[in-house]
Amino acid sequence: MNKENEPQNLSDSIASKIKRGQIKMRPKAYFIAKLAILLIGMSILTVVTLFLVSFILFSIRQSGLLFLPNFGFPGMKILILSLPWLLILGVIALVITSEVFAKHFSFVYRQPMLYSFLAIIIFAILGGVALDFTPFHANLLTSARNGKLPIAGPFYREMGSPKMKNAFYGSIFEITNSGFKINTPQSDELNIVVGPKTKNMDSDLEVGDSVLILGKKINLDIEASDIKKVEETHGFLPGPKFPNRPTIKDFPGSLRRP
Amino acid sequence: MEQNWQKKSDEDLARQVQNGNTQLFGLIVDRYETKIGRYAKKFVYDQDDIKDVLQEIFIKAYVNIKSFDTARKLSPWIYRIAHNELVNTLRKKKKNTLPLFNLDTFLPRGFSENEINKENDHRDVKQMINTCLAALEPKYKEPTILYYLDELSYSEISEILQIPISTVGVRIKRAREKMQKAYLTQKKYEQGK
Repeated sequence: MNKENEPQNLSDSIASKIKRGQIKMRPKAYFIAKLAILLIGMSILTVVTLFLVSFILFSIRQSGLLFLPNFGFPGMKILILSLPWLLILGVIALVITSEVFAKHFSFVYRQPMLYSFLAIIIFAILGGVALDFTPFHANLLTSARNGKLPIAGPFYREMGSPKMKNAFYGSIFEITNSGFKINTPQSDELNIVVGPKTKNMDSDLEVGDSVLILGKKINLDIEASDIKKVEETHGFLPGPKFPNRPTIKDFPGSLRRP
Repeated sequence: MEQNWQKKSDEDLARQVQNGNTQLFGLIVDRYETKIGRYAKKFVYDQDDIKDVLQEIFIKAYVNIKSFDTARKLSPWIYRIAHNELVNTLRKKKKNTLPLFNLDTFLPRGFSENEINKENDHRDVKQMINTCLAALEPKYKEPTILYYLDELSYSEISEILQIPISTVGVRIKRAREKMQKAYLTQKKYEQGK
């Protein structure tokens, strides 16, 4: 049809295009599939968000970061520097993406965004805490360390118990003449040197105690400046203890005060 | 036959189109062409552009009609398509665009449609709209047109713009204040001449 023959009226013009098959209705299945993709996408986002939030909580607990505020300002500084920021940024990105997805629903966009943001954040935190209560991450970390977790293994080994900057967390397994040795959550053995630079130290340390140490690493030795005994059930929430933790039964004996 | 359909509601017509009675889509176009055209003219000024935008809006409405829930009202659904099309057109032309996100949708605000005296308010503002609409930013202009010219409710405007109902109220209130200011300035200028 040339331009001269085209109808001038808009409804006639559209009717003519419909008649000629130039425009076609999308089938209902198309919209159902679109909604299904949206819901699947939201479900995946929810699972990944809950996984990451619970993993962050687990790794914070696992690494002993939660106990750093006990050391006052220097501890807080190390805590801020050692937080798994990459994972935290990932969670923030997921929360924003979840908000974008949720905005497709009228019950979300009809309310101020603050409400939906808060709802997503509260759900992510509560869900993450609930998942952290289970032995899920501890089991996966154990599998990763035993080489039985092929895909997520490197992620768990690397991020599962992150190292802190100038702070060390572990369980005492041997008393030495210069101090003591600890087993870290990363399964490393560290030699803690208690000397003139050690300003503060709890007096009742024994084999099997969990300790947090501030100090500098020189080769394989840690020159401790502060040593604090920590209760693993103390802090944010009790959870599964880190694997391979030695107990007093494994290392009988008592710690001599230096 | 057509006489009967003329009396049917928009939603009934949409249901018929969904079920294959496609020639009835022309009736929907007839019912909305003027309204949507008036709405589009407040943002797009070139006559050919307006024609193209209108055509595109109704083609999209036809293509996607099976996504329309006939239990709801048709007008917000068509206006939503028009809003999206206008956003795209203005973006292509790099004109002062309709915002995708605004901070005023973030915080809760207490505002309800019952707070204003509808009759007096509509009469006063309609007078101002003719002379002062250009003084408004697109984010204020859009709900003002939909509320005062197209006479849609806050709830319907919220559905079209996909923003909270309270934000619709706040934007309309601010638009009214801005137009009042512009109107008074213009009157003073005219009196001074």
